[in-house]
Amino acid sequence: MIFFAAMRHQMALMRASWQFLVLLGVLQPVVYLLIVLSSNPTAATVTAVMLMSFWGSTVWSGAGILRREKMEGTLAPTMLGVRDPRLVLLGKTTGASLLILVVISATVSLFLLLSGHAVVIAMPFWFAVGLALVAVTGTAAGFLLSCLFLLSRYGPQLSALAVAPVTLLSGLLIPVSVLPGWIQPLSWVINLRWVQEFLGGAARGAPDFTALGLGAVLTVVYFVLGAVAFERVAVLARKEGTLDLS
Amino acid sequence: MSIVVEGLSRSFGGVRALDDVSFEVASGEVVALLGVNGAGKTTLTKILSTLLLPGGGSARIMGHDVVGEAKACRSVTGVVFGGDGGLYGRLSGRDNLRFFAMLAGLGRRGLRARVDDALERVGLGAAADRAVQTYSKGMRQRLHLAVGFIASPQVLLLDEPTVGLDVIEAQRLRDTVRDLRTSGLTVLLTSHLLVDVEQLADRVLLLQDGRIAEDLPLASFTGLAGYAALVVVRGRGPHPVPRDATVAVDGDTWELSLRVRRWDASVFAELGQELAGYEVSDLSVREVRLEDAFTKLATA
Repeated sequence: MIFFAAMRHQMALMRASWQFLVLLGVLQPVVYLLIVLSSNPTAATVTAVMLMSFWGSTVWSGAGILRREKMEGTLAPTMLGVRDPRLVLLGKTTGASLLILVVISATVSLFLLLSGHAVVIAMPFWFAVGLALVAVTGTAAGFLLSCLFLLSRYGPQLSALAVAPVTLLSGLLIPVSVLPGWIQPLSWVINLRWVQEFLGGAARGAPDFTALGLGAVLTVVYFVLGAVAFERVAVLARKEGTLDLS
Repeated sequence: MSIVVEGLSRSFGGVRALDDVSFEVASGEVVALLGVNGAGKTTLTKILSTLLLPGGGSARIMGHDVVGEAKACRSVTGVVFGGDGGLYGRLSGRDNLRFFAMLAGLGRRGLRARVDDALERVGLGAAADRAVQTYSKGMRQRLHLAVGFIASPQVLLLDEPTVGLDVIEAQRLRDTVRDLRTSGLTVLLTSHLLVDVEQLADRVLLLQDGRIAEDLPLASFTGLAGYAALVVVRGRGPHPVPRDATVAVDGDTWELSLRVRRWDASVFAELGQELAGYEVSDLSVREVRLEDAFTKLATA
């Protein structure tokens, strides 16, 4: 129950900060779409636009949840609840991912409709499955990063640093195969890369189920690492007294 | 006993914030924790609220150890934070309270009525659907209090509940806390405003340099000031020199301050005799307050 309560709570918070939602969920994909519209957009480019927007939003919304809670003094009361705070954080990151994904999807669809560009999705069912996985991967990444960023006082700077490398390593801007050979293995541990490959395949009519599996496994790993990192954050905070009462 | 603290200690780097602190708080008792800044009050409150691990010793809330049974402690403890943080400013008071109530373990069943009741109790019923960022400081503090008691805790930790509030708001908050006492709630109160302590506390713990320096009922604590009342007499011309009095002379006028061990008709009569024949323009008497005892002890 607390998972869903936290999810709704986070969505309400984001709706109350609607300017932030418009910036990340509407303006960001529109800018990307305007760039790719100079050529005829394909399902692959539209997918990349959605995922780039989603990743950028995840870093600033889901991944920043704990840091914002700490800044606003709401982390301490959250930790003092009897509910498992990891479930609360998980609910919040899920809420953030779902809301932002819905807004981005709606923006992209509306934009393509209004601009008269038709994008054909060869296998809509698997594409939808891929999109669902996108929400889960975003939640996992947000969950993990939120905990990691809280361990460092340089969370905002790390957030900014996380956007571009992950975008590159996921193959959203350019194919991973054109990256330098020594850097390509890094992309293997980025779940977004595999989800992007699966979505692209589903759009072309050739879904890559290995990519789907790898994306799912990595997502589970992110959740586990996030839970471990959170426990570490909680223990450190109780040892050092870094969760202020006011 | 609701709270049992034994040999509690905690250091930050080389600084010992708490040193072998021991005390007990009985069920339904309101105990005030006093001390100058840095005396260890916040450290102790943080440990009891399970936000901070102690370095040594133990603390139990309703029989639950704050280290090993943190979750059980949280289920019986409400914590009221002072200050501006700790609330979601963009959400309404009702949404804030509902979320924190669920964190405190309340289920959805009956939650709405409980939230409404708590909001009414702290006088926020009419403002329940307004964003908290539009609330005054006093309203925020009342919402904090509602967050603290919504889950019907057995122990309430109040950390500077009236800090920054105007007189009316502070009194309103104290009245609400007084109401809560009737349900048998145990309260550990930390406040720099001694009027809070005077109006609410049964007992006072004085923390000095991380140690319990005094643990006394409120009346006895006030008695530590060493006098019952302060008599101030102002006059002109020659001045009397009673025993145990200090006299400040400014040109032709003088001010005599006399601390008396009791204040009754006989003392008044003695004073009248002492002042006979002198030109007295003003006389005022102030009964000793907690502040006098606290100042004396804290600066000793």
